[in-house]
Amino acid sequence: MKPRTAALLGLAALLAGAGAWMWHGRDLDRRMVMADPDVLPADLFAHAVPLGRETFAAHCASCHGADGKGDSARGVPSLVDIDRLYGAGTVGDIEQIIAHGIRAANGKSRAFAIMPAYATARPSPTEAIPPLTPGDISDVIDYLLKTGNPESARRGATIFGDRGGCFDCHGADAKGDPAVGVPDLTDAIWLSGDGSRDALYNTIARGSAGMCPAWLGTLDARALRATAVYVHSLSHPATPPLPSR
Amino acid sequence: MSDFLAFRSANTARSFTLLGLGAVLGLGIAGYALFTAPGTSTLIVAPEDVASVNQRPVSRIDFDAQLRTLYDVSPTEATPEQRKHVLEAMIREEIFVQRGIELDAAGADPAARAALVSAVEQQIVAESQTKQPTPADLEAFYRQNQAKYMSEGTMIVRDLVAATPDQAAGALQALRAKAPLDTTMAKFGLKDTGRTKDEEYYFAARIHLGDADFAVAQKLAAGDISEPLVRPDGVHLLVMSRNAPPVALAFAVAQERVVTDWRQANGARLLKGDETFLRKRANVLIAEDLR
Ligand code: HEC
Ligand code: HEC
Repeated sequence: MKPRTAALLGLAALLAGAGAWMWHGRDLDRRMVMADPDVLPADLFAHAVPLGRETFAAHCASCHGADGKGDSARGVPSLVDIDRLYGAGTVGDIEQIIAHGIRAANGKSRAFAIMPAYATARPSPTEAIPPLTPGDISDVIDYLLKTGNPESARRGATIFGDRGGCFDCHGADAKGDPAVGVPDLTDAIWLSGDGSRDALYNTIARGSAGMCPAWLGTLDARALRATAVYVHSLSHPATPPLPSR
Repeated sequence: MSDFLAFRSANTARSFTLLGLGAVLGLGIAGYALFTAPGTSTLIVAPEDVASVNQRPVSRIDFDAQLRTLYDVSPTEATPEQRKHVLEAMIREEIFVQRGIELDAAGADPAARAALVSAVEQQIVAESQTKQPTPADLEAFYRQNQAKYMSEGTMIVRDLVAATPDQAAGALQALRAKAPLDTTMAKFGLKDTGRTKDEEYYFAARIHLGDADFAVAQKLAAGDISEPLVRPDGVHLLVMSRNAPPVALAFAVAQERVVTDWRQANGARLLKGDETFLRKRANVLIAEDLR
């Protein structure tokens, strides 16, 4: 074979190879986007994670940290623990949060409740929730942190379960409600601050309503799904396989 | 064959073959791009969509969300009936929205108009939300709005009332001479109005005492007793036992709210800017009598 012939054939093979590679990539993208996010096969999972890591670094790390551990001084949650504010923490749940955000400016964003500011005349802008006194707040903190004397903790329990209305959102057992994004107050994981008495006072007296932006539009379906898979993998290092329900 | 590959000399068959190959390749690339580029009108439903209605996509992510909201299932957990029901509902919605635009529903229907206004406002604000403020942004905002980032201010004050100015004056003199409160109250016939008790936030004390009496109370230090206050129901003495006025909160304590407020202010600024731009762009004519 003449060198020229060989060169031509080589070029053709290269083109065909590149085409096949591109086709394969696109096919993986297509299947990744079309699959049920909660039961992603291993090859799609492996395809998604590096892509998601890239998107995360570009768009999410500024708030959630490069390692995904959040920033409790600004009320940004860690995505590395399995404690979820919203939903069951499946890839599908996470994807919906990323797409529409939390208390973000769009009709589909998750915005069911805010933490009232109990040391103000009108703790909630939307609900008729009465304010508390400094003593009430101190009692309720004693109840939550199991500090103070039995008397104050008992008073705190009454405020929690009755006049303060805390039970309505956080549940009678204070374990929160992932259906509406209300945090568990019985675990050691805190969204805002370090779980100290002062930090709890800061939230209960002055309220809290964290915002996660909506990414649908900024990110396409492929990047959204890949990021959701990556975020899920942060708290589930052993995955795939995913059927987590 | 050897002629075909003898590139130094012209060969008609080779020219046509290469031309043909080029044409086929070009058509292939064009066709591929046409059928797969996002937003193109094709007969194919893109992988990120579950349907297409007059070339407008019905998105898969919304379909997933609907299944989760209505039935609490993921797409594979859903039964075929559930999937069909959600899909049909979404297609119906898209068709009706498109028809609504054709009929200019927003021209007349107040609910549609309000929804559109709100959607546009949200879209303007949403663009700014992906941006995280820098620490410098936040600290500047915190300093400019220091008055917003104060502790609450609390007081423990008792509001006593006497029937006559003489009784109030007598009680005031006794209390300032450090006579015990209970015996003084009994001696001069003072009653506790119960308007305030225990430690209260300033806002609550203001509500309970009323603006005028709160203004007096605010100036009292612990251990102080107010001058007699003549009111319709008698002569009042305010006895202050603790008064902690608001103090500035450290930046670290206020930070989370500074972020929220900064973002809100930033959104409002953007909204205003876009409004000005849209207004400038619009051709607005105003009736003579209203100019
Ligand atoms: C209207 C619903 C609602 C009520 C009522 C409510 N909370 Fe909350 N609470 C929330 C939400 C929502 C959050 C999370 C705020 C966020 O995402 O920024 C929260 C957060 C908190 C936190 C911070 C948790 C963390 O992980 O940092 C504490 C502490 C808390 N609430 C205590 C209380 C107490 C005590 C009461 C009653 C006095 C109460 N809440 C009443 C909705 C509520
Ligand atoms: C501007 C800051 C900011 C950016 C940027 C941001 N987030 Fe968030 N995110 C938040 C805050 C604040 C919350 C907590 C909201 C609340 O209080 O309910 C949150 C919550 C979340 C949650 C819910 C956590 C839980 O426990 O349920 C997920 C998931 C999430 N973000 C993912 C992302 C991803 C993925 C990106 C990038 C595409 C991103 N976020 C970008 C601020 C941000």
